Amino acid sequence: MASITTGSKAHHDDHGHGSHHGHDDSYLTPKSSLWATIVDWATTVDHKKIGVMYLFTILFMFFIGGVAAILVRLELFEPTRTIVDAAGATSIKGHLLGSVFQGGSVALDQANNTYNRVFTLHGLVMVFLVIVPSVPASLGNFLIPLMLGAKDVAFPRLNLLSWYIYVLGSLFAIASALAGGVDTGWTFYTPYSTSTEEGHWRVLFMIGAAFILGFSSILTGLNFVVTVHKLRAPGMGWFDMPLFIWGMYGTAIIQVLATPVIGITLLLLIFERVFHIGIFDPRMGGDPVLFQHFFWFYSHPVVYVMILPGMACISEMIAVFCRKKVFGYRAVAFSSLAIAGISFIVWGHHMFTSQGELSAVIFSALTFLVALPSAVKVFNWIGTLYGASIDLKTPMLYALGFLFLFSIGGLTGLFLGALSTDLHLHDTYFVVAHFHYVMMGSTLIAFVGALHMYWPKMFGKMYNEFWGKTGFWLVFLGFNLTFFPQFIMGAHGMPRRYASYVDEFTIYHQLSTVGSLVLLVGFLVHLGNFIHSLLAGPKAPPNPWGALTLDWTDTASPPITHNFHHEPVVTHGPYDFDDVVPPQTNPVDFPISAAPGKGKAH
Amino acid sequence: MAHAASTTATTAHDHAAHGSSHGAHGGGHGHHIVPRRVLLLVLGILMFFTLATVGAALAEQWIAATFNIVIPQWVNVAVALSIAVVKSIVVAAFFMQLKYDNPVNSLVVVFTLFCFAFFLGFTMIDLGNRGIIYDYKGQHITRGGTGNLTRTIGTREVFNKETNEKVNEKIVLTIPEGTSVVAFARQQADLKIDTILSEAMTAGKRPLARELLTKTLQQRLANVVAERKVNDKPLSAGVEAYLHDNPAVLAMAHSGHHGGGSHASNKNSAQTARPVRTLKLPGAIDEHAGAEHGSEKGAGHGAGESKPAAAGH
Amino acid sequence: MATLPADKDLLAASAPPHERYRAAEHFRDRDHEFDAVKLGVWLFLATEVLLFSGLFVFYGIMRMLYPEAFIHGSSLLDWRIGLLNTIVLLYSSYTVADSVRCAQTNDQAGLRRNILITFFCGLAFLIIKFGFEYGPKYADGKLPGAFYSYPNAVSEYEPLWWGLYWGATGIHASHVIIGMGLFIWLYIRSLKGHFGPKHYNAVEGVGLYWHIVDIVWIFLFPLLYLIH
Repeated sequence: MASITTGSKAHHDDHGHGSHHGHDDSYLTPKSSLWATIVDWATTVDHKKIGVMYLFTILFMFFIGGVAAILVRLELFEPTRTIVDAAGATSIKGHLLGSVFQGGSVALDQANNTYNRVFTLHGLVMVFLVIVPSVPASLGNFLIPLMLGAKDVAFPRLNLLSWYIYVLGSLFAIASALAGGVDTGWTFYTPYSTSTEEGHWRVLFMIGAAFILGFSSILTGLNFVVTVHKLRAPGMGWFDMPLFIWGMYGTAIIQVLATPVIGITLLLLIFERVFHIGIFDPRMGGDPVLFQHFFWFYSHPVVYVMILPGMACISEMIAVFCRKKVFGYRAVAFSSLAIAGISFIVWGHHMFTSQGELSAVIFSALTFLVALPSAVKVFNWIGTLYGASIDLKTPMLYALGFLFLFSIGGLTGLFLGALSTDLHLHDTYFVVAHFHYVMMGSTLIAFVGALHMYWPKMFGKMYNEFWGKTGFWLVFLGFNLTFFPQFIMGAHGMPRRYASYVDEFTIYHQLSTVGSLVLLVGFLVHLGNFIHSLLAGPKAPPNPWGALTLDWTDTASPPITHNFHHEPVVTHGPYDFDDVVPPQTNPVDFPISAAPGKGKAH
Repeated sequence: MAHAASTTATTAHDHAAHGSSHGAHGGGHGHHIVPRRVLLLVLGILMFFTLATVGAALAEQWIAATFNIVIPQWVNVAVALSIAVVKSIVVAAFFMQLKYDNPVNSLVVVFTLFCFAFFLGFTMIDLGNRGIIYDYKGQHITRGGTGNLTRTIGTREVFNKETNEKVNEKIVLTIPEGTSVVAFARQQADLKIDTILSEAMTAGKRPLARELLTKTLQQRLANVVAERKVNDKPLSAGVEAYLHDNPAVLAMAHSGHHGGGSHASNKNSAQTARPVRTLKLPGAIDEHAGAEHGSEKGAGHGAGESKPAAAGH
Repeated sequence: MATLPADKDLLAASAPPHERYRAAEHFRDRDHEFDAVKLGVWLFLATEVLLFSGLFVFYGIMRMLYPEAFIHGSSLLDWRIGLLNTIVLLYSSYTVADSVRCAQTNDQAGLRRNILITFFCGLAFLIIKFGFEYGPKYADGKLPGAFYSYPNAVSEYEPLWWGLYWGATGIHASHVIIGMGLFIWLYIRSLKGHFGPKHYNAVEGVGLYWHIVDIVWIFLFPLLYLIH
């Protein structure tokens, strides 16, 4: 052991002249050749590159899921759904779905099946491939080490592995979809999923895809928990962390503790389908409702895997664009953990109509607990807005949109959590509208908003504010137009997952379809804005929004390969706007004139 | 792995701080060395509890059989699981070093167990109380469903005599409607016994060797014989001849020993087993299942079937 | 010391690899990395426990509903084989714990010996499992669900029991196989001298994994073989 006491001096000296060139370069700097660059990205363990790779794969999957959504909406534009309507005229939509999925005109049964497959594809892609990984895997990977002042996540190679597992799972899902898709619904409810003879391998592939994706989710969550525990910069206590980290920490805990259960659930489903072990088959004494318990034990917590990261982003946006300390920091932080904890005891509210009455009553009562921490968050955000000088940049518009939409989504959730109302509303469009307000109206809205906020940090380019705001209004109005009518028709009894409906619902469906097209245009505007920004956007300063967290104050835009020139030391809270003036980087973009901050870095 | 830009004083490449303390006991709670003595002791404790749990299970059966008393099932379950819990705690505390470790790792375990408890607890609350349902909501329910069970369970190579080549043939298992897998297995076994014995008879292979039937099939035959005796039904000539030549099988039938188990738990279980669970519904499955398999069960199992379940069961 | 290569560590190249080991650069030092790895492994173990929890819920529910099927099914298993396998696994758990101790005290020979013994214990477990349990049960038709063809059931629901038996022991056995692969990897690395008092993250991690496999079996043994 004696030989090791050489001391640290030599060590530092080694670093001194062992200095590689390029460590001060942006992480985006390409290698000497295209091939070398590709290899570099494919084998990188840099959390920033992995985050960016996740971002683009997720956006691609979002495109696929979005196409499926638009097809569903177009199909529902008219109440009849056959190719040949009563008058014998050929309708457009039958051909549309038919030509996309079947290559020409199709028989009624096939067309019905096609509709089922399209909405299943939409659900599967959006849940497993888009929303679950959306914020954590892309922005989380990119930002968590930066916000904590770390050089990387705790296990960089596992991080890369999780991306490859994600890609593998996506390939399974795409293979199944290309081979014809499945019509089980994203929930794979038994007995249909275990007994449908059609597309045996496609069903197995789709289940396999969800199974594989679970591992990707577990690895991401595991990495984040350890990173938050072990890699905080010197001086950063638990309550000096940005609220984004708290949200992601809650998310990661759920990912670690809930995802394995979907693993065993899907494994048992595969066993049931292949070996017919009987656990979900009443004929052998099994119980299909047991599958629902298994499934929702994962899938309810995972609803909070979807929403907590959205809340995490909103906390950052509101604090930064209000230039104000978040009202009740600790309440917001703990409410993230409370949501994570409560998420494990309320899954039964997805199955009020199928389970026994005793447990339904218990689950209904417990469900209302979720409202408490969610409301704490919303009230604290509103408290932060009060009296603030709000800077209505695109991300802030999205944050306000989130507050509006999440309130609607959350409050309608209370209707559904109440046992007696749910018996009426179960499996209607009311449920569809509710979870779209939460999943899309809240999580994806937060994701897009956060993407605008962190776009300058990720790619070093500013986006165009005018087109950003235009996109926001299109998305916001399109979203409400799409989903608000669904509340009404759901309350009137329109069931979900049907391709045809009675004439009374026509107007609502048509509004909804028009809204979905507006939404599409809104997303295309954002896409164009981002592409334009990448190609010709003005260069972003290190801290365009005047934020106080380490990702903005202590590194360049885009960050250098090693994140920080030297390990940051935290001397103030993440939102101490009253005490600390952030380093001023761009007076034009930055509305509050300020002297250079009491600089730590540079 | 060397990297640049670590020249400031605030950085924490503190090899100096830890470099010299990396000996056997350095590094705080993360590096506790558990002495071999302790490890061996723990192994001994684990072995002891393993033998104890087996001993408890055997002793309970012995006591129940010898003194002819009924020990409630939960005793057995509680003893076995308590011992398993103790063993796991010992493994986690010493082998896995949780006792010496950063408490956050124990916290992970605790949260995990909470999740498991919720998972098991709530699911049991639901499935254990499914019988509580208002009568007026009830409808005719056939337990086990009514669907056909037809599954391709694999392929096998079949020699096609006409084309002189091997072809793959699908093995399709069809269990007719209303027949459970268990009943189907019994039918198949009976068919097999009949085929084997009648073939042997026609080939004039008397006396019939005991090995003609596997142990499993002998047991089945014994059960069938016992059941036929109860119902005074005749046996086929092949079976009569077989039983005549193999008195051991006949003895099995008379003893009423059921199943091919390694230890006889049936006496105990038949007395203490809770009745078959049924839904409290008009026209529930009892006619259905009972008519078909009731007699078979009755032969070896005695009491305890087809009673309506108690509420809260 | 002037001849030290600048890009190597403080120690001479002749020092064994485990002494020259340096933590990944985003960690402050080896202890920091060790702590992080251990927390990561524990979180992974949490996922393993919850994976198996699905099977335990399967057991709990179905036993609650059909005790007679489970009691009879259990009586068809030979507790002596289960006991033997339990002893094998418990002993391997000891050797794994001892291998961590050997790494901590730089007992390289003991480390290799313990890793090998653990590997062979895993192998013995599988041989006993496949030879004395899976084989005969397969021949008897004591198979899950639709494949079930054993005629001497007392309950309509015994195929469920066998579904659970094969599912639970099968998933457990697959964990044993994965563990054995990890021990081969550990053995190769231990031959290269990768593990010592300053660096034994992998031994510790794999060891923890093996213990959890053991704990799962500690529960499966009474549940499957002893509860009647």
